[in-house]
Amino acid sequence: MHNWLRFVIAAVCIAGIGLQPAVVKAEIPYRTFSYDSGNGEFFVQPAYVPFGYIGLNLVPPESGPTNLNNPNDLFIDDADNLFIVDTKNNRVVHLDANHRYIRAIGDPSGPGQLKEPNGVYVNEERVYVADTGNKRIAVFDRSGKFEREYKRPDTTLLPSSFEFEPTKLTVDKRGFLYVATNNGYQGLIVLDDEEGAFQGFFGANRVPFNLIDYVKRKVYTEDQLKKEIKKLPGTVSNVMIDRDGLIYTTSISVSNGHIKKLNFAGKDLLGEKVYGDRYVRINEETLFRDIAVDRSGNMTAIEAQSGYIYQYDSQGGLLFAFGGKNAGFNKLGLFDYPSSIAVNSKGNIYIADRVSNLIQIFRQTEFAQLVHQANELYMLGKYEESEQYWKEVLHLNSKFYKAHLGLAKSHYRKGDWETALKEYRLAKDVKGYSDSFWQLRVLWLQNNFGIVSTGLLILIVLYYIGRKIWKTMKWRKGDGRTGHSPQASHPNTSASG
Amino acid sequence: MGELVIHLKQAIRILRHPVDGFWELRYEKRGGLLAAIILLLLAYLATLISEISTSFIFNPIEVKFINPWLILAQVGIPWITWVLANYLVSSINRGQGRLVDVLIGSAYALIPYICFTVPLSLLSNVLTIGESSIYLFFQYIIIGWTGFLFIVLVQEIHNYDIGETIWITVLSILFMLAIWILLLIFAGLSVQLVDFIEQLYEEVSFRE
Repeated sequence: MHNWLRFVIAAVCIAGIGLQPAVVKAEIPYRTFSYDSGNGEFFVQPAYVPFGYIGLNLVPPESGPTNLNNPNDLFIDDADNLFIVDTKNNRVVHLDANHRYIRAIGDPSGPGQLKEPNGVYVNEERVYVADTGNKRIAVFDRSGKFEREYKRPDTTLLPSSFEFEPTKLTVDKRGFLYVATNNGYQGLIVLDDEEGAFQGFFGANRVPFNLIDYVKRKVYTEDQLKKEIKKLPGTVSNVMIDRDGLIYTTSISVSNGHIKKLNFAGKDLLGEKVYGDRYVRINEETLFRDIAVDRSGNMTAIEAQSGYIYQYDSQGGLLFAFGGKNAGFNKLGLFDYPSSIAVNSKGNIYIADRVSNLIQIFRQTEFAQLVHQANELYMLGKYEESEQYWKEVLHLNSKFYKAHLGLAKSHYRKGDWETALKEYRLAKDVKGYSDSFWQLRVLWLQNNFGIVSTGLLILIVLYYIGRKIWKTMKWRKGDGRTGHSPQASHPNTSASG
Repeated sequence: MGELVIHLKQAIRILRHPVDGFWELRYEKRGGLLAAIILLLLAYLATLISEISTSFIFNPIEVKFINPWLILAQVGIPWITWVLANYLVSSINRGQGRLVDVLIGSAYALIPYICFTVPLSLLSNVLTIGESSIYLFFQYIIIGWTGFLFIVLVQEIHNYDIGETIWITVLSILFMLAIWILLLIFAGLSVQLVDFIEQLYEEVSFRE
C-alpha cells in the first residue's frame, strides 16, 4: 500500500474525529451572541445549554399544591439550597442541592402566614421574605419557624401616601436590610435589623434632565410647573449582595445604569453603562428583572421584554447573550416571562418563568467555561496565565475578540510588541495598538539612530543646495514666474498667496 | 495637450496665489473642464488612498469594510450640490460666473486637499495616540485652507467684494441644505406613493 494513501486515510480519519459535533444532542432553540469592542454583534457557539427544568410535582401532595404557581424569586445559598418564592401559593419552597423537597416556608395561619410574597433572602440563620401582600418583611429561622416581622418604618422621610410593599430584599453582613418596594423610585429602603428603623435610601436612580426641562423651568410660571407631569426616576426592580458585600441592583425605566454594582457608599462601580439591547424599539423598554452574580463576579441578568439572558463580566463587559421569548413553541430554553435568576456554585443558572410556572436549568458549555476561566485570569491581570485558555477559546471561535485582547495584553507584558500589535489590531483596540506601536517605534529609533540622524542631516544639506541651484537657475532665466499683472478692473490689486 | 498642462499648472499657481489664480481661471481662460475632471478624479483617489493607508490608530476600520461607492457619494454629492447652489444663488445676485466657471473653480479649490491628504495619511503611520494633536492640526489646516479657497473662488469668479462674498457663501450653504431637505422629502413621498400603488394592486388582485 502506498505510503501517501495511508497518510491520506489517516488524515481523513483524524479530521473526522475533529469534526465530530460536541455532545449537545438536543436542538438549542436560540442563538448566542456577544459584542466585539466596536459594539458589533457576532454569533458564538452556545455558552449555556438548557438541560432540565423543575416545577412539576415539586411538593408532595400532603404539603400543599404540588406545582408552582407564579414563581417570582429564586435564591440559592452557599450550600446550593434552592428557595423558590411561590407567589400565588403564598409560600417559599425550600429544596436541597439535588432539588429534593425539604419544606415550605409560610404558615397556614397566624403571624407566619404569607400573602403573595415576591422576594426572599437567606443567610446562615434566617430566611427573610418580602411579604408584599401583608406589606411587611417576614423573618423565619432556617427551620421555617416564624421569628419576627418588619412593618412600614416610622419616619417622616417617606411620604404619607407611600405604601410599604416590599418586593425584593437582601441583607448585608451588619444585618441591615436593603428593600426594593413597589413604586420604589426613591431607591432601596435601608432598615436596621434591631427595630426595623429607617436608615435611608440606597442606590436611587437619577431623573434624566434635558434642555427642554431647563427651558421650561426658566420660562414657566409656578402654576404651569405644577401642571407638568412629575418626572420620576426609574425604579429599582431587584437587589442582591455578593460575598464582598457589594450590592447589585437592576432598574427599569432608566436609559443607562440598568445594572449597578454599588459599593458601601452607594456609588456604581461600573459607571452606569448601557445594558441590554443597544437598539430598543420605540414604546418598548429594557426590563431587567433580576440579576445573579457567580463566584467570579460574572453578572447574569434577565431582560423580560425580549426574554434574553445577558451575562456580563465583573466590569460590565458583555460575555454572552442568549435565550428569547417563547412564541407558542414551549421549547426548553425560551421563556414566557422570566421573573428571576439564580446561579449555584457549579455555575449552573436557574431561571424562573412566572407564566409557565417552571424553573429552567442551564449548564455552561465547555466553551463558556474556557471563556470564564480565561476572563477571570484576565480580570485579575494575570495575562500570561490566561494566554493558554484564550488560545483554546480561539480554536473554538476565531472571532472571539476578547481572546485577541487577552493574547495582546499577554504579549505586550512579555515585551513581544510585534505580536501584541497584531493581536490588538484583531481585537480592534486602538489604545493598545497605539501603545505597542509606540514601543516598536522607540526600539526602531534606538536601533537606527545613526541612519535617522544622518538621513536628516543629508536632507537639510540637500535642501539648502537645492535652493541655491534653484535661485541661480531663476536668475539665468530672468523672472521665471508665470504671474500676470492684474487687470485694472480687478478690485484686488494687492498680490497675495 | 499643451493647453491641459497649462491648465493643470494653474492648480499649482492657485496653491500659491489663490486670488490671482482664480481671477485668471475665470477671465484669462487658464482653466479647462478636462483639467477640472482630472482634479476631481484625483480628489476622489486621494480620499480612497487616505482611507486605506491611514494608520489603524486614526482610522480604525478594516480595509474590507471600505465601500468606494459610499465614499464617492459622501464626497461627490455635497460637492455637486455646492456647485449648483452657489451658481443659482449668485446668478440672481449679479454674480458674473457661469455654471461652468463655478464647476471648474470648485474643482481647482480642492487642490490643497488633493496635495496634502495622502502625505498626511502616510504621516499618520508613524504617529501614536499621544501625537494625535499633530495629525489633527494638519487635518484642520487642510480643511481650513480648502474652505478658504472656496471663499476666494466665490469672490473671484463672480467678481464680488468681501462682504458680498461672505453673504453669498452663507446663502449657498443654506441653499445646499434646502436642496437636501427637499430631496429627502421627495424621496420619502415617492416611497409612500410606490407603497400605496403596491397596496392598491394587491387589494385589487385579491378581489379577483
